[in-house]
Amino acid sequence: MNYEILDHTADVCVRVYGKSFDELVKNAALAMMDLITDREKIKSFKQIKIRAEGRTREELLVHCLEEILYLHQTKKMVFRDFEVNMVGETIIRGKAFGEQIDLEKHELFSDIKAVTYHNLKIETLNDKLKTDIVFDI
Amino acid sequence: MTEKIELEKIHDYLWEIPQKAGMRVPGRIYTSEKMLRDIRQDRSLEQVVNVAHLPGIQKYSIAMPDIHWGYGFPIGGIAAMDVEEGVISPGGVGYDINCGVRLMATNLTEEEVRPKLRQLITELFNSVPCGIGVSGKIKLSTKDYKELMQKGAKWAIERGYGTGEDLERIEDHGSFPGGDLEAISKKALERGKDGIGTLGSGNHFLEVDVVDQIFNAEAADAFGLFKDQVCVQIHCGSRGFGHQVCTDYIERMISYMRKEGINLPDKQLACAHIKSEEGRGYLSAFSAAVNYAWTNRQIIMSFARDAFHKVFRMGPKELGGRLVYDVSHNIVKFEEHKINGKTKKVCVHRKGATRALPKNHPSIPEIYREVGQPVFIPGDMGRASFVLVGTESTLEETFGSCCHGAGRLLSRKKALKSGKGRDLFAELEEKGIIAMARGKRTVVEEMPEAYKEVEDVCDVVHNAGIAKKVAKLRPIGVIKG
Repeated sequence: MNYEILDHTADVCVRVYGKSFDELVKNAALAMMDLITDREKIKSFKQIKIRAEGRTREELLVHCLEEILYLHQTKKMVFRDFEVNMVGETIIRGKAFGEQIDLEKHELFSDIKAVTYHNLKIETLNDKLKTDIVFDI
Repeated sequence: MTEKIELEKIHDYLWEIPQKAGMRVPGRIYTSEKMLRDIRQDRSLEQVVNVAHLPGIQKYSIAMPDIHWGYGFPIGGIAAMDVEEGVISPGGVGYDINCGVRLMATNLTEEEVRPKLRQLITELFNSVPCGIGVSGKIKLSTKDYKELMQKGAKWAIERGYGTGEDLERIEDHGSFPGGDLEAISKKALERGKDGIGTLGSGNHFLEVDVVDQIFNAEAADAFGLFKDQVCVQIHCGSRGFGHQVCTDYIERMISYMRKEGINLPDKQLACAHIKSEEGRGYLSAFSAAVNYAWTNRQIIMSFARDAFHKVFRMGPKELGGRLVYDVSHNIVKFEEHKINGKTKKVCVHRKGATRALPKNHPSIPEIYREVGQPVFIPGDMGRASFVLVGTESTLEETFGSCCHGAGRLLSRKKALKSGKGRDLFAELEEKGIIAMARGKRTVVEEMPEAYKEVEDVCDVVHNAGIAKKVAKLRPIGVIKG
């Protein structure tokens, strides 16, 4: 399991796992996209560059998700998959693969306002990384 | 989940969290014994404690009966900060800057509207852009943006969306000073450029209501409300523009806290001293977003008026369509309050809380000065909403604030589980409510049972004396994103 949705009264909390930090970020991005739409319905793979920086791993994770959210909302795109590559400890250079939103084809489930830092902590658990992310909806 | 937080009962509607290590003030929660059981189910009381750690906080970290677990601040939280030594926290306002509610009253009664109700809701649904990924009818140029950020609702009125009379009936006349383009990121401009005049989704709505019950005839009369009257409630905020402003400044404040060595229990409480460069920068960007939200609600109300005119073939005079008031419930304001017997200027954060001023207060419109400020507390789409009025105690106890809504009870996950196999549109229709929505899932997530009973929330503030009930509104139609 790459992620699970936890109970949170007002917003949405997702517990994400990954074997590495790159994988944790990718799984968090997939979880966020699953909150937004049904990824199975995304058929074409236009490529968009993602770039994020952060002083800590938590900041880097949040910045990367914020960048994807921004691209989704302003380029009006939904993404099926992501590629995440670390450059050193503080930079992510990645790619998002998806297509333009077509409201006839893509049902949009949630309008995510933001990715929050609420209680955000990346932990190591049995050789895996784990974190809980709260999205403001 | 917050069973371990110790509470001392002050009276039947007020509990106190004693000041412990790290807390600068005690916490205070306005609620009832019955509602406290639900509040203890999530982590909102822990958040009341966390807010009490913020530098410069005065008197209490306060929570209203609609309190629920948010991020950083609880939703339904109030905190007033010392202007000299205190901080401003974007998380204490929320991502949806100046999210709020306005109420428009018509001259029509339920009997007159019922025969054309479906036609009316359809017309409203078609004329008010709503839902995720839906663009507004107005595209903002840089010049428009600049003007809108400074003028607020007046910008909309100059373009024919409403009249000058509307401005008198909005908090601060629908315009906050200091909105500055320089303080706004390109990302915020980009996210907000097609969002003006759009409702959004989630818990935002436009609802057609009927005045079902009057509790305070004098105030109802002053607000122009009468039994069986048809009104419209609009709930929305500053859309992607405000969301990005908050996102940008939380980042800046995290850097500020690192620089200043400020440590807080939750990073989402990120803050900066009010007088710092970061604090002032946030205030400029925040003011722009506040003005964006007022403009947004003004334009949506204008679309609603047009829909009524078309369906009922009436002019503005015949319809009424008078704005009763517009309240903000995600906001920060500089206000004067009495602290230890002395009047002091403080920075009041209201995160899911509404300003509720008593009669004779200079900050409320003259037309309402003899009764007090109107307050709107939307419930859920199946039960009721309330109109309240501020009291003297509001000023003394809660920095002139009261609750803002019913408050969620079920998570979205639980609501979706409970809604499986049900036709909520049909269930609402059986109660005489026509609902239309772009996203079918939104209606399930927003089902009436997902919320606390709004009457319980309003009874707490009424019985605690921090606002008084004026009228009960019953929904007959709703449009959602």
